[in-house]
Amino acid sequence: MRIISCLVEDHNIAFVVMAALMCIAGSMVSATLFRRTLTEGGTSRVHWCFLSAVTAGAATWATHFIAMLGYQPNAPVTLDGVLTVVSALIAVAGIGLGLILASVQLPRFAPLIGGSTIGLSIGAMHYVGMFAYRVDGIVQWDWRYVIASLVVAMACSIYALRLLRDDAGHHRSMQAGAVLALAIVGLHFAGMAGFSVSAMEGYSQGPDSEAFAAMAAAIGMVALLIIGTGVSTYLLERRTSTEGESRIAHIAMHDALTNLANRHQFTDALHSQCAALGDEGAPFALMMVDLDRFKPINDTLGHPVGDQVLQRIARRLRIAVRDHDMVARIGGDEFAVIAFDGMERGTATAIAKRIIEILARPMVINGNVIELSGSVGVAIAPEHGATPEALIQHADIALYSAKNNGRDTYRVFEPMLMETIKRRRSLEAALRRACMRDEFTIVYQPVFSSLNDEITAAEALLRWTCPDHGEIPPSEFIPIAEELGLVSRIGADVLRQACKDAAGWPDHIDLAVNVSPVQLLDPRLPQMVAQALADSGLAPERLELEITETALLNNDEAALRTLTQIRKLGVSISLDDFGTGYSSLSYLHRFPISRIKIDKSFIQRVPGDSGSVSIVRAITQLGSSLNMQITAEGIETESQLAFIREQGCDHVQGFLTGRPIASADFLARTGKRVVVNA
Amino acid sequence: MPIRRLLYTSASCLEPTELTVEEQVGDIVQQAARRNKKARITGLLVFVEGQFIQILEGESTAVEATFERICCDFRHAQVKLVDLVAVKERLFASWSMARLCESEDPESSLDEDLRSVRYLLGVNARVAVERMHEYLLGRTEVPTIAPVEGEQLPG
Ligand SMILES: Cc1cc2nc3c(=O)[nH]c(=O)nc-3n(C[C@H](O)[C@H](O)[C@H](O)COP(=O)(O)O)c2cc1C
Repeated sequence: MRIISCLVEDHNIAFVVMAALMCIAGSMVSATLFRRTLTEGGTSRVHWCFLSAVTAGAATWATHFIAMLGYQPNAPVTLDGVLTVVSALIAVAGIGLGLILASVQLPRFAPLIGGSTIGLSIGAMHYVGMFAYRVDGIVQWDWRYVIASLVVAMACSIYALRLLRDDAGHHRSMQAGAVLALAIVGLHFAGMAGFSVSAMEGYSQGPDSEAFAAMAAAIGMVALLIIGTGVSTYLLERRTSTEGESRIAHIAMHDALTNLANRHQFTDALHSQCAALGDEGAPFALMMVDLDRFKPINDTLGHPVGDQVLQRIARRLRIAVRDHDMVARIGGDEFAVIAFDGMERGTATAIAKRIIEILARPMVINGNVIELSGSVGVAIAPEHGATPEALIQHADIALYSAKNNGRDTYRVFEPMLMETIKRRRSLEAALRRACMRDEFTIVYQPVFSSLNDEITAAEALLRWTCPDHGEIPPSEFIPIAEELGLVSRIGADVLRQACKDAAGWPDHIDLAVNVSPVQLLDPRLPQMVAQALADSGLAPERLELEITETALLNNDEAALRTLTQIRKLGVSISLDDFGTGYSSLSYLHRFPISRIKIDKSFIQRVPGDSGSVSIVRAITQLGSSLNMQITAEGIETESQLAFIREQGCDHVQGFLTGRPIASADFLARTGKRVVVNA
Repeated sequence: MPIRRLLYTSASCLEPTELTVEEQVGDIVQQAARRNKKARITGLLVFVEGQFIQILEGESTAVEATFERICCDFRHAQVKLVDLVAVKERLFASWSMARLCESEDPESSLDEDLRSVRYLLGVNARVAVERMHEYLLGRTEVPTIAPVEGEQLPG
């Protein structure tokens, strides 16, 4: 009980409290830094080791020193400056060495060797410090206490390091901090218990407590500054590294370009959602989203613009879904949505509709107008499948059928879609065969002058009768042909055949042939046209190529080049389906267009619908002011014909005036006037 | 900096709430005017027969950014870009966002004009823009938006 009496009787209590605070703060910080040092590797371990040693050394030394200043031996005291400094250095160097030893690859011995080194070095610091503490009196050492103090210091240090090495958990470093504090306290007071001074005769003066108090405060402050530096370095480093870690986690789970979840996170979410289904998890919907017409954007406007488009698409998708739904980018232009819980069919379709709507809206980037659209396939779990594989497959089938349904639309999976896909596949095969065997036929729809009712031209129209499925309208097979890359070839055949047919007609009858947007992108088109003219002997002036506005959209530079070359051959160009698309006068000005064909949707609503009347009127006025010919397409009734004549359209075409017929029949009709009741 | 003029149409999805549809359009215009002033955008919003026709004028990047935001708005649908051109000067320079709406007076000639503009658009956007500008100038009681305050006049 010498230790307790030493503590309460021989020490000034204020100093003891200060030392205790220093000890606790220092130990906690040291333990945390030790832990950090032990988990590091390579050169950063050396840095951490240095930082820990300086911080822990300063803290232990300050604890010891403040406590010493609080020691009241009732005898005059002086301090040896050099030894005092040396004692501090011993603490720092010893702790540093101990930490290095504690982190060697020997799990059993490392804490033992490291802990002993640390314990011994703080012991050495203490006793060197004691030598620096010169008391004018008779000093006696009780060696049992000295040895006990060293044993306590070593044991506690070993235990603390073991705690820190075994488990890096945070509460462990608090425990280790407490054990370290015990090491320091034990060392100091056990050591002091073995130290006694009896004052010499003639001297009764104690230490100069005021000077000591000032010194204690100064040392405490410096030590706190060092500890504070250690703490802040640690915290700073930890923050940057957790930021780094969460950043890395984010990168692993997200798509870098759009910041959406990536395929990896999507798959995880889908799996856990499916797993939850078994435990009465809520139904959810999987939506596959595919961009229509995205690839040409990369090709014509370049990847930087393509990337911006994807970023905007990502933002739009996030706006279209509910906040807690997941949007993932799972491929170049493929996205997926998982719409969680509360998922009835109605909710799913409402979300799908919003997606379709927002994707179909135009985009302007660097002056380029970009018109995309999206198709969505929806599968609802568990109705359409309860495993990720089944859901993905069924959502894909729904997507596929949405795409074949003219795109810009969504489809919810249903078993019947399997049939549709079968038909489509068989059509694809049949179309390939048809291409080889020339199964296509061309029919001609007469075009009449509205002035004198004479046939002035014919529009060549493609017909295909599939051996398995009967007659297939061009609106169904042309998109398939485009997808299969057959359209240029079919287009070339049509052009060649139509020119040959038309060469046999009277010279005043012109020929109009449709050119698909895909063909217009083909730089060989002018060459192909020239070849068809040369082979058939048809005069270029008699040939007119019909293009649609959509063909000009997005690719106007390439289209302009192709069209200018064709125009140079003497062939004229007309704009089909006018009024339905992105109509801009700039097209009419920039492109060598000599005819506008008013879309039949307007013609069929005149004269009853005032909107269509205004449009037809405006187009005809426009035509005459730009010196372009106007053709009205799709005339079906007498009143339509009468109205169109009144408006001053140059030419008319439609079921009323003449259905499409075979070339031979057409030849027989040439020269005849419009026979309305035919 | 060259000025761009963008023209689009859309169908309103506004439903009467505590506010009438016209009041909601008023709010949209008021907010738009405030934002547009910052982005140095000027223009006009026409609301006729449930359809919006909007003209945005400004620097290319500002027009593109504003239009993208408008395209993310579900208060309207079927957004159709009708025209995008570089122009020498602004036609609507005094309006951060002017507004033209159908009036309550069914005989009003403006209504007829606004409806016909809708059809003209698809065919000749440039002429349509000039028409709308004339209507805006010609209609004395047209709420001209003082650049920040927006406007409170009945539609
Ligand atoms: C018909 C209509 C016209 C609009 N016009 C503008 C406009 O001119 N300028 C603008 O900043 N916002 C306009 N908005 C509002 C934007 O769509 C959007 O709500 C607003 O800019 C706030 O966007 P934020 O929520 O992304 O900040 C319009 C909205 C509608 C429905």
